[in-house]
Amino acid sequence: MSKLNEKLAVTLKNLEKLTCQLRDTKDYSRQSEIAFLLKEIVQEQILPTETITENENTYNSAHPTR
Amino acid sequence: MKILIIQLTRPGDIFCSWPVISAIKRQNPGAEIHFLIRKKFAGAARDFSAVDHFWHFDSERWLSPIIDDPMNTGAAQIELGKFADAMRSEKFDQIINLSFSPSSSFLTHLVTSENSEVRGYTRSSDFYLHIPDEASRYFRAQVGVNKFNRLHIIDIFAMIAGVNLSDLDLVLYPNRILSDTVVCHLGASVENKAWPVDHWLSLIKSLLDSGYFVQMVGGGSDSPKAQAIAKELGCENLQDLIGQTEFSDLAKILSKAKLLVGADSGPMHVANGAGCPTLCLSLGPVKYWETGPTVKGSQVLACGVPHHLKPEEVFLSIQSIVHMETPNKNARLCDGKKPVRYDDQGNDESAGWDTVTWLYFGADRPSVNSVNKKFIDQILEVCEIAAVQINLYKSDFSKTSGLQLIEKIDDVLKVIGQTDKSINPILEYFFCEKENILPGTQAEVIEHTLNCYQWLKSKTGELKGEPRNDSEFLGNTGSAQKVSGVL
Repeated sequence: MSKLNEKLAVTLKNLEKLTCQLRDTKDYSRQSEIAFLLKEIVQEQILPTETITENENTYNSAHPTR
Repeated sequence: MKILIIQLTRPGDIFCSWPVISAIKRQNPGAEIHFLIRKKFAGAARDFSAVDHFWHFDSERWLSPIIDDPMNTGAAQIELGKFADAMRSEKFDQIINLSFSPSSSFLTHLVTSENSEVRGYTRSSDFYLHIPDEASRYFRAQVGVNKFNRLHIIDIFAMIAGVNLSDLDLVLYPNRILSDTVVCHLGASVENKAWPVDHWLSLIKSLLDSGYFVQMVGGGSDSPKAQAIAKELGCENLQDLIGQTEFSDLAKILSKAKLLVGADSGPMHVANGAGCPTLCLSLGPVKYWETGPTVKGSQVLACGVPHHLKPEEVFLSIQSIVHMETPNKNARLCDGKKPVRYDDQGNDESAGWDTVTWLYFGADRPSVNSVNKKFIDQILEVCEIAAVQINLYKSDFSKTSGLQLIEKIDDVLKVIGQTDKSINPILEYFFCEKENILPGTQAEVIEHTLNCYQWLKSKTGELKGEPRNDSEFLGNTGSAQKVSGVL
């Protein structure tokens, strides 16, 4: 893993914790959604380039069945 | 009318979005079209004359404060918030998301204003994935590697946007002039889709011996391959243009070329826009049905292992395209028909596609054999169990043990789908509908979930030959609608 990706992995872990808290507290504010978006952007940087073109169910768990 | 089109994937997908943009502008000449793309791929859309305003998704800039301090995400969140606010303040009448990533669905939701009509992946009020239109749900359920879709992505984009494409919409670069040049794109977006350099060497030698002028194109990383070939074959009929062409330069080259040979990648999509036929080397995990060439007369040679595709076979296909002869038996021909754009010449099994066309497009019910029937009976059985457990939970919310059983039932259904692939499109539809249940009271969510199992039971029963029961034919959206009358 490159040094840049190592840094982003730390950030991703931090954002995963934050978004879990937001889900637990049912905080569905705009600010909260921006945190979710940022988490996905960080994840895209770490994933192999081709993954972002795929159907999102192949790797993402941000949308469990309700 | 203000329309936003979102395309956050790579150059090939940006080029595949052009026909839709052209059709929207043709059908709504007064519309103001906004196009959101990644900043690093902005060059791919430089010639999109129908776009009135470009927005650039600049993730590198937003992430730069994080790179300095990985724990500090505040600055990035503020910048992202400003960007989303600026877009939302445009109050778009229509937002069409043509990408399928989580980031695109969150952004679509963030830029949606009160009166925006949204098509494509977005998020519901509790941030679960929400897919409002049937065409995007078709994509989610049936498109991708190991699935059976045969519609080209440009036709799926058109279905999502709700427009009909004309042949002229596919032309991005008019003014085609023919020469004797064959353009070879040596690389691919990833190495496992690229053809080996020794095979290129052999092919290019055959082309030069036959009197063609050959131009090699590609990104800077393909330079060692081109240098090796030029060192071996160097002559005035061979030109190395690797790393020297922007997309607009490539368009000029391809507008004059007889043919492009290369992977299912960015240059092939430029050739599509320039009306230049392609011999597409569809190597590794690629589905040419969805992303292959669209110019009539193009061909596809598909091969799971790149080095197994021999230069002799590629050369024969080039000759058959140039001389408009019958393609060799392993090639798929782009015959100019739509929305299934290729004649597979009997090379591909169609069991799963038959199920898809029955399920979505009103085609005849596919025949089932005894093995299919055995799996259908198992689906019917587990649907019964699911219905009993859901009804038990509905009568008493404290009885949660049945919910774990339902999770196991879904696992069983997934295994059945993987085992009997001809039935799998029905299961994929079911899972997509179940996932797409909107937020609501516990009772509403339970009712919709029950409807999904009832739909699955009804539809698999129908496949087996049982009479259709419309009262059970619900799905969470009220009906199992057809995507459109495209077939």
